[in-house]
Amino acid sequence: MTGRLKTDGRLKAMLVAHYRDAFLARRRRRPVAWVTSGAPVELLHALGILPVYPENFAAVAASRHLAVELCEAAEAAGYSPDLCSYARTSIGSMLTGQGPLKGKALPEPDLLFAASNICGVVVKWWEVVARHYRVPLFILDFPFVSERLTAHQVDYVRRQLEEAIAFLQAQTGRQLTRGALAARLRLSAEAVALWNQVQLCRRAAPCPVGALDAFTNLFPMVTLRGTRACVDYLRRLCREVEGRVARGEGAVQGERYRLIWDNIAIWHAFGLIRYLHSRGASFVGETYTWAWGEYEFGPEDLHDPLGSLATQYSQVILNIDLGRRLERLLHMVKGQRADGVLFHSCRSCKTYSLGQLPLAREIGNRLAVPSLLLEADMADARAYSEGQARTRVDAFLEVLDSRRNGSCRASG
Amino acid sequence: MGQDAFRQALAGNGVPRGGAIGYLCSYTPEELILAAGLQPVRLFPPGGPPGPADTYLQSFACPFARGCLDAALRGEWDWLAGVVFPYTCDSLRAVAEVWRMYLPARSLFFINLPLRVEGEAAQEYAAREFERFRRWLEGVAGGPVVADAIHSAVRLAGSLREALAGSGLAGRPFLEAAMGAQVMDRLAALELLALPDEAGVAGGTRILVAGGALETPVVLRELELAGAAVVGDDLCVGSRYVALGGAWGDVPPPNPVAELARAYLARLPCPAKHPAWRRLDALLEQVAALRAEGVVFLLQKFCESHAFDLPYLRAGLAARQVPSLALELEQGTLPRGQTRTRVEAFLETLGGGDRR
Repeated sequence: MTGRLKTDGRLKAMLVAHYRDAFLARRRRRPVAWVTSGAPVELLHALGILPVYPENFAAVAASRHLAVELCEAAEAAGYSPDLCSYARTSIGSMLTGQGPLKGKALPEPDLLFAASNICGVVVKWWEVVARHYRVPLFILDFPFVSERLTAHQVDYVRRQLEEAIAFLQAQTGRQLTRGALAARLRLSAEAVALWNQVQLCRRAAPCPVGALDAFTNLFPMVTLRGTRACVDYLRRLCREVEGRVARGEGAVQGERYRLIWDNIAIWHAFGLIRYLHSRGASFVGETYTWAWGEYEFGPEDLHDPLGSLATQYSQVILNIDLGRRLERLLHMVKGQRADGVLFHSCRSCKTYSLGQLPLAREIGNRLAVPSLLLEADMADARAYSEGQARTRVDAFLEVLDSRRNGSCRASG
Repeated sequence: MGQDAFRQALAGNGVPRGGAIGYLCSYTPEELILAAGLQPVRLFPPGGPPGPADTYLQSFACPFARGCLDAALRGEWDWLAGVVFPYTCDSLRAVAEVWRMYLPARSLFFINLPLRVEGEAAQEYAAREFERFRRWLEGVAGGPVVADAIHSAVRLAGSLREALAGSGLAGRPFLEAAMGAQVMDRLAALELLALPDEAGVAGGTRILVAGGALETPVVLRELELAGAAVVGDDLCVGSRYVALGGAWGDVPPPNPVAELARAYLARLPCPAKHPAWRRLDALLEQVAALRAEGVVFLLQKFCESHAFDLPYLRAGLAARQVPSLALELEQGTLPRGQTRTRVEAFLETLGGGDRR
């Protein structure tokens, strides 16, 4: 086995640097915004605002097994255990001042920016944060793209983007220039192109990057998209991955099964992925990590940056209809030459999870590719049983084996 | 006042077998459906144990949404000429998506409502969505939906809402009338409301119920049996449906569809569209006007919009000495014995007794 990517070693330093910047921002007179993962962050970077991601913070808390305690603090304050565990982790941290960053919570925001293109939940969650810190909140509403993106949807989002710029300028006293925004879009485009290149490399057999690396390497794409640091990191990552492909090196020893992961990672249970790797199962793609390769800004987009932001950010995976989501998944399964799909049925994330049963059914019907639906939660470990998950994974791999043996016999 | 007729309508009797459009959520502009010469029928799932929807939706989907899919998959709504889903929450959006994929014979329209309801951009966007909906209705009805017809429909629906608001009914009888009216021929409902009042508010501790959608008004029976007198509601199947402002005069406005969109966005705050502080203000106003002694929240399990607001609303009520209790609905019902005990205990803390 080739093991984890070497570039991973830089990730921890980047994560530390990102949060150190956030803690030092006030002293440096740099405004801090808490933003959702689907927000058009290029706008904030262009204004010199430091975006901080409570979702990433919750994922870090979960990976360090601190999320349950924080969720419980939110629940003690009256928030239902059925609510999104990222939200509960974030609210619990906000209420207790505790968190995974050397024991601390996120630094207080100067302003809040929430985009509805990942779910309606973030809007309610950000309202809680706004009440707690008494800071201004901007909600950027992306209408759901049902069948096709309409001109009046783009127009509505574009007008809100204009309002957002006015809001951000008023809150920070800074002025957005066309050149600054174009520069950030170019950096985003570079990052996206490199990220997609890495994902395409995963078509190779053996697959050079496993799910552990893909999920952890998502950090710069999510939190640093639109910065030079993100591009520099991804260029290094791309080189390493291409090198692996050239040398025929795989992330998993004796790659036997090629799988696709659907939904957010189970951040507190990476042991399950290691177990799958140990059984020869390699993840050749994740719909979640691929989602960050969808913001493709070309040179022509620089003529109408707000229209492009409206168009690109409207059509993210969680804001499109099931038919289009299915098309993307079918394309991914075929393109990556996958043998099966593992759907993480995440009780916290309704927008991602509701729809998985029809997707699994259609993948089976149209491509004869089997799938496994695994009940868990991205941050709340109480909704997950490792033993049961492994048993189900074993059964699923047996199905894949029996199909392979069956098709060998049939072709022989 | 024809309570029996309203109950029968809710039980599915007397529903037209053609020319009807089913809809979910009170953000559907029923006036446009009426203007198309079709009957708007609000869809309330029948409740009960999980059914065929299990194959399409996980157990953590809100039971109201699952119930809708169950009913559709069982063919219980096959008589509808079409179904309308306004965008209000992620669970109902998922149901609409499954519906579109697996029940293609049922014409479905998704009103892609804005999540924000304030500001000119949202108003204009909503007006364009309503306009799109009007055009779809023209296709279903096979004829134009003209401004005069919209004007008449707005006045009819407005009269019905006024009659409900002025009916003197409260609690379960009010919900029966309001929910019944939403599934019936609107003129017939208006006539029923003109009949003499049979029901008053029963004795007991004065309670306001708050929450979202209910499958059936029968669920209030559990509160009444425990000694509560439900004197008002903040439910989207009840007073939030009724309190749509903007009654029109004799002359139609220049752009009736845009005017209608404005009225819907300005209606009583729903947690899916409004911040919690606006809801708290509205709740406190109602509590004061109705002299309610406490508030009982009836929430669908897994309903995130309501669940996010709940701690803030309860704290805000408590700060003004208004105690509250939160109950969770599953498959349209409340667990019997447990609910009775909890409500009785809650009423005791309010002083209880048979007070009016």
